[in-house]
Amino acid sequence: MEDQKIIELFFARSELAIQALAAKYEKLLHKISFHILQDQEDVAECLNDTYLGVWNTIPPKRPNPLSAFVCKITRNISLKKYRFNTAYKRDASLEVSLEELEPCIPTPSIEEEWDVKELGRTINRFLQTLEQENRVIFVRRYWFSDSVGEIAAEIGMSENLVSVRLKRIRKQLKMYLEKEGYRV
Amino acid sequence: MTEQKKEYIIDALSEIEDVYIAEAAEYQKPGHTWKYWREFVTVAACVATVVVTAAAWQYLPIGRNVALENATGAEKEAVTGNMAVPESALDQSGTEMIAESAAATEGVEVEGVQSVEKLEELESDKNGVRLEGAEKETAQAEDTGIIEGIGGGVNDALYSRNIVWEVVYDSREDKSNQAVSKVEQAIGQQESQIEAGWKETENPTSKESTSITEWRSAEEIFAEGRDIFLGKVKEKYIFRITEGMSAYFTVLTVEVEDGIRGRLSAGEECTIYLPVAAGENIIQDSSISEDLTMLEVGSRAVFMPKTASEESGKGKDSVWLCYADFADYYFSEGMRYLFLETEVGVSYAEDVYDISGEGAVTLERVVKYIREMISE
Repeated sequence: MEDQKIIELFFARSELAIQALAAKYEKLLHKISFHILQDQEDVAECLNDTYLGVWNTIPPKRPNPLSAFVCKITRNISLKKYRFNTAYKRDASLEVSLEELEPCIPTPSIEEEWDVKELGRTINRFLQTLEQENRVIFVRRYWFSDSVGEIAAEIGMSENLVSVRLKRIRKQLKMYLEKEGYRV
Repeated sequence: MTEQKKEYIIDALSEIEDVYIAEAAEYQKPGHTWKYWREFVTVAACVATVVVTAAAWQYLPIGRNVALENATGAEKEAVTGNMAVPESALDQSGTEMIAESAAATEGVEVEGVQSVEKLEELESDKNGVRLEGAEKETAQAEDTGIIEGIGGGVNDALYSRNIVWEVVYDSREDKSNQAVSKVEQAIGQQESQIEAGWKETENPTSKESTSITEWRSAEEIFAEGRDIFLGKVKEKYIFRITEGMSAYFTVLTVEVEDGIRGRLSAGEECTIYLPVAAGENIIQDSSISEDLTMLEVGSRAVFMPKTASEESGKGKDSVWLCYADFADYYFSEGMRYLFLETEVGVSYAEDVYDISGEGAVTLERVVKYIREMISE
């Protein structure tokens, strides 16, 4: 079903709205949440919270694109739960992808005022410089926390090629941030 | 990684715009439909095989015999009078050949291939020798005319042994689509080849591999005496080795803008062998190839390649790929011998070269730095 029709169902307060949303996005949302939490029960809880959040937000909101909207809600809820859980799972996909990205991102220090929103905007500007395919690979890896294998399967590349691209993009990001005045 | 930094990265990534998230969530590679038209390509390949077979048939003496069988006496005389037809083809073997031709016209692919092989045999016999190894390469190069276009003197200097190759990408014709799937498939082959013990060496008779990952200081690297030049990639070719070993490699034609050290000066051109293959959806590289895969037509860089000689190459037993057959220079790795200009600055081994100064490093600053280093 088209996103616009799903939104109309939410506006009509139809219970079919949740079903339609789940039918279209649950697989993706489950993956996002699982990469962070690595626990099926936690994931199920997060997905329920996501649907509830969407139900409470639409209306009045009319998000466009809907996909990004629901993905963000799921990610935020999952991250909240992740932080709540005292025992972090060190092998979670999120951990792995963060470790990978860590050398490219400046370290916040006490002396300097770190504006995380500004860093986010710089990353967005960097993403704009990338070709679409590389941008998708980056976002899939570091926002969705997809594994290299999942990205490879999703966009029809070999895992080796995805790894090489990621390595190259990280290097470019580091150079871009340095050029923008960050000390990486 | 500290929890503080982890949170910092998570929060920064959370700022990624919706449009990019939606793009990634909904992205489907155009080539994803490959599996649906793969069948079409298979059919097209079969049709092409039949067409090629039919074309080859026209030039075969046996093909002509079929026509001769059906020709009138006067026509027969007219035809045989102008061509060299083996007697055997007209007499005893004639019947058998007609039977083969009937099978071939059934459209069975195997028969088509056999016919082409026969053509090769006949041509080899005609020349008196069967071509092997480098000789076969020379013949192919001359047939296709490819080699002439990638740099001078290649035909005169064939040192490779038992290697047959083909060009799968030519930037002048931009056959990228043709190269994609072939090179993609090569990745696994290349890895297995490394495992099988292929060695790069300066001496074709030596079984020892030179260490190319040993750490060296900037001073030691410049003391190696390699030619150094600033240049721009003008042409790019990807080669596939079809016999002898399974591998791909790239040859670049580089136009020199500034000859920093060595025999080249501004305006001259040279060719460089790269042990990688990279293009749109193409990759064959290793952990030490680094920026070599990023070199494209139009790329500007400071190059510090090794000079290719008859003793530089890679191989095993009787198989030998000599870089000098394809290029004037070669790279074994891209970590320390390349300063590549990118959209966001110059990419180089920052842990080796201390290029001082404020702001982003440019190629001009790299050139100045190198000149200072080599003049010391």
